[in-house]
Amino acid sequence: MEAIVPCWVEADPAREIALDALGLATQADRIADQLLPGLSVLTRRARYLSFLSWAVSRVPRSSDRMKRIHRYEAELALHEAQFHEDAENRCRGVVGIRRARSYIRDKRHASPARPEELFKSTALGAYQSLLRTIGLLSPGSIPAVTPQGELVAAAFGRSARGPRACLSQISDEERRLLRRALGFDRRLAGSTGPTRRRDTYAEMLRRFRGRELTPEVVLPRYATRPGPGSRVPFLLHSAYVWELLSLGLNLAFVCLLEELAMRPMANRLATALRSRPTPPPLGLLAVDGHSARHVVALVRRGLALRPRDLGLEEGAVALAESLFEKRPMEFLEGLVRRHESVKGPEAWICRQGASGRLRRLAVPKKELPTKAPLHAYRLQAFWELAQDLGLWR
Amino acid sequence: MRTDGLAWRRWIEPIDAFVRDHGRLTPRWAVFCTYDFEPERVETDILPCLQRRGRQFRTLLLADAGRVQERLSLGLAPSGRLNIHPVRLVKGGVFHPKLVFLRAGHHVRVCVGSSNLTSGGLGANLELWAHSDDPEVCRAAAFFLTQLSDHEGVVLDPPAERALARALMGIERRPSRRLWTSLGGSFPTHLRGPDSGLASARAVHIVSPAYVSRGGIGAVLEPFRSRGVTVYTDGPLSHAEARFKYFEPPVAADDEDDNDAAAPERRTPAALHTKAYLFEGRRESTLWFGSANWTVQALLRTPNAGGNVEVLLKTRLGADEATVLLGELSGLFGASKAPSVSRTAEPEPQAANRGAILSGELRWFSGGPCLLLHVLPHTKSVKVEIDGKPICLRVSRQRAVLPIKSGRILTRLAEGRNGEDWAGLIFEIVGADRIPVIVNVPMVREPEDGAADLETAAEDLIDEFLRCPQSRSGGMLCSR
Repeated sequence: MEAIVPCWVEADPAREIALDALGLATQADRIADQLLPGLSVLTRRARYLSFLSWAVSRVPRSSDRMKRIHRYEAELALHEAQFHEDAENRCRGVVGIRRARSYIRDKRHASPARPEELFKSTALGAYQSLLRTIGLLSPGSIPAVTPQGELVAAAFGRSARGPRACLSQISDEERRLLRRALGFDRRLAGSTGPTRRRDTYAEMLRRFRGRELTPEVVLPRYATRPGPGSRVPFLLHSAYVWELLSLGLNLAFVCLLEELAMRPMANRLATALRSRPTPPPLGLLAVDGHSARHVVALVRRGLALRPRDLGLEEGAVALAESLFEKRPMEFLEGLVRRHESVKGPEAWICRQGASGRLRRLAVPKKELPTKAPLHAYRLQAFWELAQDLGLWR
Repeated sequence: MRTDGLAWRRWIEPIDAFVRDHGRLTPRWAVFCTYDFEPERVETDILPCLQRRGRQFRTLLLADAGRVQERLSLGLAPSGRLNIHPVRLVKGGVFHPKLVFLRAGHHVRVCVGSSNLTSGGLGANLELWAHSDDPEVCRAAAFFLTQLSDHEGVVLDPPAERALARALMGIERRPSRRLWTSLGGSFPTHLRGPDSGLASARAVHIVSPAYVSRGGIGAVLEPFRSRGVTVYTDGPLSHAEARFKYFEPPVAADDEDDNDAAAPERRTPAALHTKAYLFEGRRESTLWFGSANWTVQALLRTPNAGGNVEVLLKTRLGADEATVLLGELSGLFGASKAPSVSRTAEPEPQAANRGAILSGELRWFSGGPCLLLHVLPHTKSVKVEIDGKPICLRVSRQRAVLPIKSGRILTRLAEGRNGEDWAGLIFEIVGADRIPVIVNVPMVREPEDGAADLETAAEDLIDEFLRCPQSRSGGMLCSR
């Protein structure tokens, strides 16, 4: 008889800091998956791809393999902190850079005996999904480089002296190999992933050459529905409509979070519904005296662009429609119900009796949001990656 | 077991490992039995693991009908290769087991515990979870799934019965003393049998949220009364014949405010959701754990008598291991005073299903795709709302059929097995209420007239084989 040993269930650490109160990020992620498959908001530096291939290829298979790779990562972070000591913002996207900087400051440039103990989160954790997707690491739980990964690792080894490298000093050879791996080399036919990334790149290059790609800049350019057959513009139009709705819903929720009462917000929404307010520009929205008008304007504009025809999430669209079809109080109750459903036992607020008052429940480790943000759609990460690869000049 | 207590593992780990180790074999099935689920968690945390590297598992989610209706009332159905089947109990109990049955070729793994497929179950609550590849446990779990289809007190929709039969095809099914299910009798009846551990126990330790009513405490103490009973709980319970210890969630350490990236640090569980019964012996102890709360409805009644469907799994602990576990429980249940109010993670499970429609499925008749609704007996007509339009349908032989000509939700599903979504949502209208009804693209098609079930099974297997890149490049096509 096999012994069965039960375990306690451990929470997924990635869930801990999720501040997506209404579960609207899932739809945004679905669109981003189609726009830029394989990328994430953390995959910002191209040279991490060659550095990590090099690190994985250097470390032999042993029980402390991950620890040794982490040690290389920490040495790179320390080198970056020292190298850019005078201009802290010069080298962005280095995992563990804040801890490395404070260590260098406190210890007056002495090298730590165990660099890997400086910080816990690893670059390999952030980049390994992309490394596997583009074929530099082989599938499986134990990281191992593929023949293509060996080439990239060798290119890194030729241009850098071990882990003490700078992410900005990527060599031409590394750039060439990584462009091919990511699908940006137009001479190569690719499968779905690289083709999608290349199509998005071509669209961005055509319309935003030289400009930083942020959702605030990109999405408003896709306010009108594109013609049939244009996949990337269609996805960006869907993202634009989704942001109008989710910004409106999130702003209404943040107002509830601040006031912990539904009645005052419902009254302000009722007043705003009697007028035709204009929507604010897409961007981070804080709670102020115009919030109710902004909510009405954003949601109204979003619904006018027929989100159901774009295949956007049914529940959120129905919730947005309830603002106009029902009383504002019912819309706000729906908002809180959705929050409770999405967050379950981790809900931040809940209804308290029939008075419309709200009660604050458990608070996550990170601070609760006070502003309604836009979803990033990995555009900024893509822009930074493209800059590293010399694609955005 | 470690010297400082049970290990902490992510809920998905045994599933993830099974997919990695055996996922190349076909047929691949994943059956989730749960009381409650959050569509968003299923979509983002569970389905990706079962669809990795082209190894698509046919995934069934059997959940309590009342919770399915509640969860889907927001219009959120999970997207992906998944069929959801609401389960109703005739006599008013709830479908409450938490069991995962995985199959790839001839490999089977069973996971049992207290976790629902919710944020709480996946780590926010204190939950126990275990997996086993032991043939005896796997056979017993397969027997339990078969019993669900056959039991007179449990109502499954026909597509679920078909899919379960296919998922279990070629797998031996036999009850075991190691896996108790309420379909086979009450827990005290099971404990009277040999090897339950209760006969040789010198003390009984019960861990459960405080759902039991004051009047019910005596009844649920009765099976264990002759031993010293300690109850580890989270609400204001007390009784002269038992000692009570109360859950005190550990205080979280200060956050390090590391903005570099997510710092992996264990969360302190905020609520108690574990259900476990430890029979402490001199040399050996027996631990039963799983879904059954310390309540009359869970332990003492069978589904035919208004009880729930529950599952508990038995494991043996050495004297040292039992001591370590009890030490850990003492740490977690450190409050000496009873809390003034219950801190339970969720309300006590209550039957709350409404409406006459069990579920819907898409069928392809010669005239094109149709919506087929499975309806409770003695129903003559049903009214549904599809894309905002109310439609009245006549019922014949517990079925109502509607040809799909338009309707965004249904036309998206009508892409069938090549589409991205295998479950969608319509609403049944009952008076002023809109009750959500799940519509599945069925995992297993109903055999057409004259075609044997084995024939469609073979078709499906070939279909699955052709879909999977690993299979084409040398993987095995294996079924026993």
